[in-house]
Amino acid sequence: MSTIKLVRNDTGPQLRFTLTDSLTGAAVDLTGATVTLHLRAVDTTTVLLSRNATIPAPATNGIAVLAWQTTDLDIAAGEYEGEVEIVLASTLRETIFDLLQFTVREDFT
Amino acid sequence: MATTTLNIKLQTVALSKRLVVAIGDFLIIKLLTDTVTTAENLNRATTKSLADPALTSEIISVAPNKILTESIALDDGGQLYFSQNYLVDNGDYVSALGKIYTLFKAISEPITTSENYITAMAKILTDTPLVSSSGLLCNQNYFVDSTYFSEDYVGESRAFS
Repeated sequence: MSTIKLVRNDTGPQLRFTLTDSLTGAAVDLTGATVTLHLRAVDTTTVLLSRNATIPAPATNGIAVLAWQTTDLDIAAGEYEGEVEIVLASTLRETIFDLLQFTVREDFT
Repeated sequence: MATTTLNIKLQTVALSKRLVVAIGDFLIIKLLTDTVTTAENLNRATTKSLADPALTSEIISVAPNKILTESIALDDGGQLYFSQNYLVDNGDYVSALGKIYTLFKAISEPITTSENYITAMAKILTDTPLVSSSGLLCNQNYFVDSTYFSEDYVGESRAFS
């Protein structure tokens, strides 16, 4: 998975997560589910951010969109990694094994 | 000879979720502006303040009521005694010192009287009669002399009032 490049203090771009079953390829029904991105700096253990993604209708499409909030990316320039956690309506918790890679650079102003 | 090992092949598939991440703008954030215009109606509400001051006056009256209490104690305290006591001893009366009995009966009878003041109001009526009379009192007379016609009328007359 390619590295997602971000600029400090930005509120975009948004991230769209498409969740499918690894065996059948069918979309995961996200009705009543929560999709959360946990962000931390590389080689650290402290979670800097936990942001819930929005699940647009219909939730059966398995799509969740994460929109950065104003201070979400107010972090120092560097390398970060993200973990996507899904909690289905059945309270089943499943975390994507592969981590997302982020690179944040300083903004000019 | 060809030997084939009939091993059981195990294939395990983890039914995990696959994540595909796309970058872009997917949610349209609408900035909604709601302009609310309110009109102010100026109505002058005139109300009459009603006030009813109640004046009270205190009338202090003296109600004389004298409670008379008279306690009467009667005491007929006295001594009843016998000047001599006669004792019969062997058939003879022996004079001895008389026994004195002291009689004392305290009689107390409290009497309470109350005095009621009643104001009897009567109107004093005065009627002063005023009688007056006026006129001319005439007394006829007979002709006696030549002065008969000197008067207004034959006789004498008195004017009274």
